Amino acid sequence: MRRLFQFDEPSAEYELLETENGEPSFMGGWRGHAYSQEQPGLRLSDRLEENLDRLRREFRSDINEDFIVRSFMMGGRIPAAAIFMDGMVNPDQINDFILKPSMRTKAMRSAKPPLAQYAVQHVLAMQDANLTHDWSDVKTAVSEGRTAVLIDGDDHAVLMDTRGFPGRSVTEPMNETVILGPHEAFTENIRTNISLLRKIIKTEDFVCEFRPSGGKNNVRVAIAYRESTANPGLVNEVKRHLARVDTLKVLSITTLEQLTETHPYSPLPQSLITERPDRAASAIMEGHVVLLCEGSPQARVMPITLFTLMTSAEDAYLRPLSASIIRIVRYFGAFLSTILPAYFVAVALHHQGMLSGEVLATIASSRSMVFLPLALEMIFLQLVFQLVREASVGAPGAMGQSVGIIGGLILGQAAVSANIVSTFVLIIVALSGLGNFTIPDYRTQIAVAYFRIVLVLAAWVGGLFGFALTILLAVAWLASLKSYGVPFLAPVAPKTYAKEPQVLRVRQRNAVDPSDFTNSRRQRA
Amino acid sequence: MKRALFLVLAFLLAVPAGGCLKTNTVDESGYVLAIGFDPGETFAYRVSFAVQKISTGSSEPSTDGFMLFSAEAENLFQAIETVSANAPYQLSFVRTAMLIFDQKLLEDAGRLSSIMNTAMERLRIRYNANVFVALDGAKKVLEGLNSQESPQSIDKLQEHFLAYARDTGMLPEVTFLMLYQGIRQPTSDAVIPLMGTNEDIRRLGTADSVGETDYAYLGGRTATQTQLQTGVAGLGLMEADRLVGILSGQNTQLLLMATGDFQTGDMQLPLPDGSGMATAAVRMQRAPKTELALGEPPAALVKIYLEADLLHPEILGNTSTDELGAHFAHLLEQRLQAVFLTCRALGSDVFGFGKLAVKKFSSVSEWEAYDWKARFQGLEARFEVSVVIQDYASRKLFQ
Amino acid sequence: MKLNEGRIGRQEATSLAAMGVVASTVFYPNAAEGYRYGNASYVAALLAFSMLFLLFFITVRAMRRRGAAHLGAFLNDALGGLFGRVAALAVILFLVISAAIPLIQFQWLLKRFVFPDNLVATICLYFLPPMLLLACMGLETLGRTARILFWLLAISFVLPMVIPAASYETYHLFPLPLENPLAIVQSAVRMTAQGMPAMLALLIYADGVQGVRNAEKYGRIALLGGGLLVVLLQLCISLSFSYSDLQEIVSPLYRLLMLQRSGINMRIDKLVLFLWIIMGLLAVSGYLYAAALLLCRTTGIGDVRPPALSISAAAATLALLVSQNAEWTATAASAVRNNLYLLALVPPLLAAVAAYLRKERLAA
Repeated sequence: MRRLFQFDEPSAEYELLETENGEPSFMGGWRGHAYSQEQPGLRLSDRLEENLDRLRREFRSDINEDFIVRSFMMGGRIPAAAIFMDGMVNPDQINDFILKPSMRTKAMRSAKPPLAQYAVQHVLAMQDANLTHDWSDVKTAVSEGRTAVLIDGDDHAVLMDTRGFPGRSVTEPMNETVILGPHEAFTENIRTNISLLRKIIKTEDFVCEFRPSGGKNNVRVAIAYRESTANPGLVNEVKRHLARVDTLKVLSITTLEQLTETHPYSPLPQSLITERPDRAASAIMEGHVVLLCEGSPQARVMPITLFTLMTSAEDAYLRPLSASIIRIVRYFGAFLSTILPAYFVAVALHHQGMLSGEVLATIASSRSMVFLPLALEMIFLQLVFQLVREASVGAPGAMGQSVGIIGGLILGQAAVSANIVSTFVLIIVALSGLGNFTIPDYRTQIAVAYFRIVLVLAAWVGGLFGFALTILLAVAWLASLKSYGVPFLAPVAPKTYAKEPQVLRVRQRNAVDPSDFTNSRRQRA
Repeated sequence: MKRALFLVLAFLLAVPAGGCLKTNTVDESGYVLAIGFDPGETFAYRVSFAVQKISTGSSEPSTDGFMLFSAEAENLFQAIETVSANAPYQLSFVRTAMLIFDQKLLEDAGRLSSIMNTAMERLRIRYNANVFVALDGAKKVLEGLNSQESPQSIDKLQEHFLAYARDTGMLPEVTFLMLYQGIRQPTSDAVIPLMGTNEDIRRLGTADSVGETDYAYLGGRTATQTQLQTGVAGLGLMEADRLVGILSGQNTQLLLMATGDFQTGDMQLPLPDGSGMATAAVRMQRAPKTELALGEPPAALVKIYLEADLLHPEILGNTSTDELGAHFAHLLEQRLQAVFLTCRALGSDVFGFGKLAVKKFSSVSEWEAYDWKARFQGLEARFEVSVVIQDYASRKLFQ
Repeated sequence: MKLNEGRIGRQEATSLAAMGVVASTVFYPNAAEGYRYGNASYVAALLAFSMLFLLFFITVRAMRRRGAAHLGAFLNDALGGLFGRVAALAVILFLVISAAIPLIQFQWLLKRFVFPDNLVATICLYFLPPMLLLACMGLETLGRTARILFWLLAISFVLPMVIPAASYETYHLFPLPLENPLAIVQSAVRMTAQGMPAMLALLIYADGVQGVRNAEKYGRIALLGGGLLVVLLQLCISLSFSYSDLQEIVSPLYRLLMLQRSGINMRIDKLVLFLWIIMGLLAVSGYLYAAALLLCRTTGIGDVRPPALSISAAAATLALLVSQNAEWTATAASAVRNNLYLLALVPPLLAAVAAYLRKERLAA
């Protein structure tokens, strides 16, 4: 019991302490690992066969048929081998730029140790070639689809980027479609995604720092930001969160999100997931930090606020007045979606005096044969609505639309005729469902859909009183939420220096200051 | 995480520990739209409840008027309990829009106060429910509102009556709360709109407290097309919480002009040469000014500023609009004087002179010692009316 | 939550303080004796806020003179260890009572106008979870919630002034309340005590608003804005009801909302009531948090949440006890009403006097 009520925990002090080696390990760049993998610093052997034996053993070449060791004679006289994973490499690059030049008789004619360095400088014609003597680097490179060339007599390996595994080409976004604006979306290839960002942000201060994640799995994660604009504290915070990840199962950006969030049980996300490069680039230009993950066609933008989640990609491309009206409609839809069912339940159960006579008559007559209590009927219908939505998402292809029609129209009508539900409640649920879809962010939609049920329960128990108290607690909880140190309701609460309204959209200006709640360095956005 | 959940659960347990708040579903309640109070034959009161009738037969729900339940009892609560025992639902008073008191009931002092105290506190009747006094039985009047040919919603009827009051000035707008406050304050007396069957209303025009007048040609009828057997017209004069007199619709217009509550209305006034009657749409030009001097006796001067549009300007003939205006003003002054004298005789300060009297005092004890009610009996009031006749139809634009 | 956590800005602090000022002065049981000599509540309100302004000014200047970071340190420094603690405990008690009073008023309003078929105790228990949670959530949450709801809640106080505008009559202000000016002063002193908890709370978490200087600025704005609103509200009440009516009305502010003829306005009185309850809860939670913070600083407790829970429960218990309507509670309530101003005014005044007698010290 004492532990239960013990509050005097020592506070968690997160400071960037220097280690004996200088910067903290997770700040150290590509080679900085905050978790243990292999023992760092195991060197390659200068004997080719020894290296190959070990590689074959560790990569289970007797089982893994796609682990290829291509031995050849470099310059016709020096034994060498190219090691790669079949299916992950571009074979033409290996053939044309590694094997062919290496096998020329005159290739290593005047080679002197270190041989690997000579090969990089004079023989191998790849644009990206690095030397390493670290065993784990070689394994990581081969796992990723790069090619490692080992030369007998040198304990260095040459690592070259020959990645060519099959991937999707750049297509239109599936969820964040716009009428005006670009129609490109991120793909699963992190390099492609970075190049999409670089197409938009051409300034020299745009950096993409790579971090390994996923333990032995070595999933590549890129932290993208503008070095002269982004708040260094924010960048460090992101890196610190990333350094906490210690699991193999980093499958996508959303997995990473769940592993690094400060409030993992919050129904509302604390970062924005977008599949649009233009949206991510816009955020970067305003001083936000964007995370990209290999294998994930979305980018993660942080920090965000509630108003960011209510902004859609289309807003930036519309005229200010149109965008403002659409935003007002969107906020109204979200508001209606959240409160309408609970408000109706509260008024119909506890405060009938607030309804007009005609509405009372309509409700009373439509409910006259319905057996479920009003609040249960409301909750039941909302769950059915979610059921129809899930079914239409889960049903394959064209069937999804049919499920929506069957569920929405036929089931609803039949339920009313069978007196399982009343017409009035059906209309309210439908309206609130429609309002829910105006919320641009999918995760926020889900959160609101289930918060509605909590509100209905509160309204059932306490009428408008319970409803008001729950709303108060929800607003207070939103006010307490933070996204990477930024309060979730900024720049409204706390009020910041931002002059632009959050709901309405003002015209695009020659912006001087980037987004102020990120406390960015003052650069032209 | 588990600790946080435990604490949250512990907090939330506090709520059901006290019990849930009592609910009444919409379909489990019978909504009383109007309550009528009559003196009982066996017990003190006969209380009638107009309960909303809802049709469930068709796919389009509608209100089918109301059902009338009534019971005799010693007080309102006993009546409610009696009626509830025979009804398949709980009576709910949250939609009550009308309270109708029989004239005879209100003529006894104290009855209205006791009913209103109960209703306000316990039944949560909305404070803006309209109140009426029935000329000959509240139950009869309620029955007249329930037209079989075209059932009306009481809410719509209430709006009709309010619109009628605003458009004609023949009915004052008095809510439950206004009446409650009016019967308790010493500075003025309250008025209650009158309601009666069609026959009662017709008789009202010639039988109000002022006496038989040639101008009270019409008591007033509700502006509906639903063939209701009940109409509204005029007002009842209260002295504290006792009904002491009634005024016809035309006299109500005059009273409202003096108090500043008149907006627009039609009046028929004889022409100066006696050749006919002119109908004018009258409205207040500006708020009336009232001056009061607390002498022995107290004296008041009420200045009323009206403007009127002739509905048939051709009737002017050779009379100028100024002459007509002066003539109308003189007639109105005479009528106002008659109404005031009636109210004074009945002890009902519905003109609100007490509101001016209280402003002369700088302490409560002085005011309470003054006894305005007694001084009102000797008040001399004079009325000065100015009527500006607008004659748009015959005006020559390019003269 | 550590004591030094939580920083709020100007708008958050001003919103929270203004809500406290309005909630405590407006949601106070209407006493009949205040209208015995006429309709003087608006005069008393004006006088009260002037006095409150002066008192706040004196206290803050004394704090700045001694370089105190917050009220707890000031009491300790000005009155010494023992008396400083006693004064701090008196302030804590005052804040707890001030938190319970709006709760009592709300539970009676709900019982009377919204949930007449339910027990007051049941209604009171519904206040408990949000109060506890809000007090534990800390200053930042309270401040930001107050900021984001500020305009909505401000409108909820403008509506009772606008809706019954047609019913305002100047004769309700008469007879003029000049018979007994001392009674007006007494009312004003009581009202000053009603407005004190918001100011004391602001000074307790003065370090959370970046210093006493800022606390002074924000307190001034809150007093000006909140005071103006309260005076206007009292004036509107006085214009709507006569002194004899006001001697019997329990909640004249709510009754104002009912003074409208018809239409859609007639449906919003309950909505407005619940907005008031939200505001009251925020203000009350602010007091409870401040009381907990002061207790922590006085007793050396490291985390503010356990005292916040206890103190919130104490305030709710107080409200629950009063709702039982026992005879002793009526006696106690009367005693509190008559003497609450002592708890409110004596500690800060004493400390201010002591501070002025001592040398000036620059802030650390």
